[in-house]
Amino acid sequence: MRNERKQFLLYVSPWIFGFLAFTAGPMIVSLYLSFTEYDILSPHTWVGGSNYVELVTNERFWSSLWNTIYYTIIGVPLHVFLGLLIAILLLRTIPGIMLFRTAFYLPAIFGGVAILLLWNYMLAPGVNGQNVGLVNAMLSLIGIDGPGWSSDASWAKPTVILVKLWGVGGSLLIFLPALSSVPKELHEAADIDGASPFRKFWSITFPAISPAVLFVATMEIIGTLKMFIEPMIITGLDPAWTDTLMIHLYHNAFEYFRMGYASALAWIMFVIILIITIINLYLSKRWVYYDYE
Amino acid sequence: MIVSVKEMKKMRRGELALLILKYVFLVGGTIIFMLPLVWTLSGSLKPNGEIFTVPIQWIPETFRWENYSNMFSSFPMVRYALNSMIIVFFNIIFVLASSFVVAYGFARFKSPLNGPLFLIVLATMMIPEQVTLVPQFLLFSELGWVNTYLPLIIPSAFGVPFNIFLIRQFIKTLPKELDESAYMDGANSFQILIKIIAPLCLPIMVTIGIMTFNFHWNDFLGPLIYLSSPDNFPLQLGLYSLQGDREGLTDYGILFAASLTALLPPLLLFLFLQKHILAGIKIGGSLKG
Repeated sequence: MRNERKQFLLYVSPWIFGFLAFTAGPMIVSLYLSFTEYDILSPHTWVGGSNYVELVTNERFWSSLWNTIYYTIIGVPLHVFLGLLIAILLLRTIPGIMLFRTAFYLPAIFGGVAILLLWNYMLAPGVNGQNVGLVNAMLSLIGIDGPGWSSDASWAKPTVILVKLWGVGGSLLIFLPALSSVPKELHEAADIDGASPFRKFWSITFPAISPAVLFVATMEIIGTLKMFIEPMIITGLDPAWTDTLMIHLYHNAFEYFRMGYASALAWIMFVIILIITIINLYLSKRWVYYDYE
Repeated sequence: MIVSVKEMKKMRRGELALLILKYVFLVGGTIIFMLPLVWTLSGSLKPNGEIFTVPIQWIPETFRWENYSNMFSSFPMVRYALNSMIIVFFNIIFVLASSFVVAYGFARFKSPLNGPLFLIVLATMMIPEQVTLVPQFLLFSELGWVNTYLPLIIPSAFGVPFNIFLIRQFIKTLPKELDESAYMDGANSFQILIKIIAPLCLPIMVTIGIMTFNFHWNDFLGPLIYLSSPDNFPLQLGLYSLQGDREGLTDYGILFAASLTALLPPLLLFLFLQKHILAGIKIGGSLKG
C-alpha cells in the first residue's frame, strides 16, 4: 500500500515539478510584479496599485477589451452554430461523405501565420478593379461590391471573425461522435408520433449532445478571450480596431518591456476569463444534460 | 399503423428533396471552404500582374514553376523549415514521454493525493498561459535561454495537462487484469508501463503526436517572444518577418508558393494518418459526462 503511494508520487513527479516551476511559481511572481515597475534592465520598484490605475485609464486597454468581448459574443455562438450545422449535414453516410468531411475539416489543421498571410491577400479590397483579392472578386461575380474588410472601421472586426470561422470544421472531432451516439430508438419513437425534424432536434438530439456543445463552447470562449495570432496578422488599418487584450499584453511586455503593467494586465485577463467561465458553467446547468450515458 | 401508398410516395419525395438540398449545401460549402486553397495554388503559379485580376483566371496562361524554385533563393526557406522540424521533433518526444508517464501514475496508482492532484491538472487546463508568460520569460532570460529553443521545448518535458487527461482516460479503459497478471509474473510497474500499457496506447499517442505536431508547427507567440536572430526562426516566424520588410519580397507568386509549402507538412500528416485522427474522434466522444 505504501509502496503504491510512493510509486504514484514517482510517476507524477515530473508534472509536480513542472507545475511548480512553470505555472504556480510564475503565477505568484506575476502577482507580485503587477505591483511593481520593472523594465528588466533596472531593478524593480514597488509602485502599489498604480499599474491597475493606469490600466483603467488607458484607452488602448478599453479598446482591446471591447474587441475581445466582441469576438467572444459574436464569434463563439457563430462557431458553435455553424460547427453543429455542418456536423449534422455530415452525419449520415451518403455517397462522397469522406470527401465532404475532409473538405470541411481540412482548414482547421492550417492554424499558423502562413494561412493568415494568405488571407490578407485574399481579402485585398482592390481599387478600380485592380489588386482585387479572391473574396471581393467572387462577390463581384454575384453583383456585390465587396467592402474594404480590414481597411474599413466597421468591417475590421467581422473580418477577423470570418477568417477564424474558416477553421470551424475543427469542432467536427467533437460533434460527429456526439451526434452518432444519440440513440436511434428515440428518433424512431418520435417518427411514429409524427414529430417534425425541428422538434426532434430540440427535444431529442440537442439534449443528448449538450455536453459536447458545452465543451466546444467553453474551449472556444477561452480560446477567443486569449486570441492573438488572427488579429495580429489580419490587423485593421488602425490596429485599435482589431487588437485583443493579448496583443495589448504582448506590446507592453515584449516591445515596451513594461513587465509590471503587463503582469497587471495578465491578472485582469485571468480574472475576466475566470468570471466568464464560471458564468458559462453556471448557466450550462440549465441546458446541459448528463444522464444520457 | 396503416400508411396509404400515396402518403408513402409523398414521404419519399420529401426525403429526396431533402437529400438534394443537403447535397446543394455540402457542395456549396465545399467550394467555399476549398476556394482559398485553389486560389492560392493558382496564384503561386502566376506572375505578379496576373494574381489580383477580375475576373479571376483560375488556370494561369503559362505556369510559372520558377516561383517554387525561386523561393529557395529569395529567402532561407530550407533553414526555416529545418528549424521548425527541430522544435517540433523534440516537443513530440518530450510531450509523449512525459504525459504518458504522468498519466500512468494518475490512472493506475492509489494514493490519497491522486484525486486532489488530478483536480489541479484539470484546473491548469483552464489557466490562460498569459498569466505566466511574463514571469516565465524573466525566468528563462535569467537562465540565459533567450534566443535558444530551450524555452520552446523544455516545458513540454513535464507533462501537458490536456494530454495527461486524455491518456489517463484511455489507460483507465484498459483492463487492470493485464497489469495484475504481469505483476504475478514478477514484472515491476515500469516494465508493465513499457511492455503492456505503451503498445495498447498507440492510437491515443498517435492522436496526441499529430496534435503536438500541428500546434508547434503553427506556433507563433512562443518563437516571436523568445527568438531574436533570424538564423533561429522557424518557418511561421520567418514568413512573418518577410512581411515586416515589405521591400524584401514583393513577388506575391513566391510568397504564395512559400506559404503553401508551409501548409504541406500538416496536410501530409493528415492525409497519411487520417485513420488515427478518426480514432481520436472516438476519444472525443468519451468527453461526455
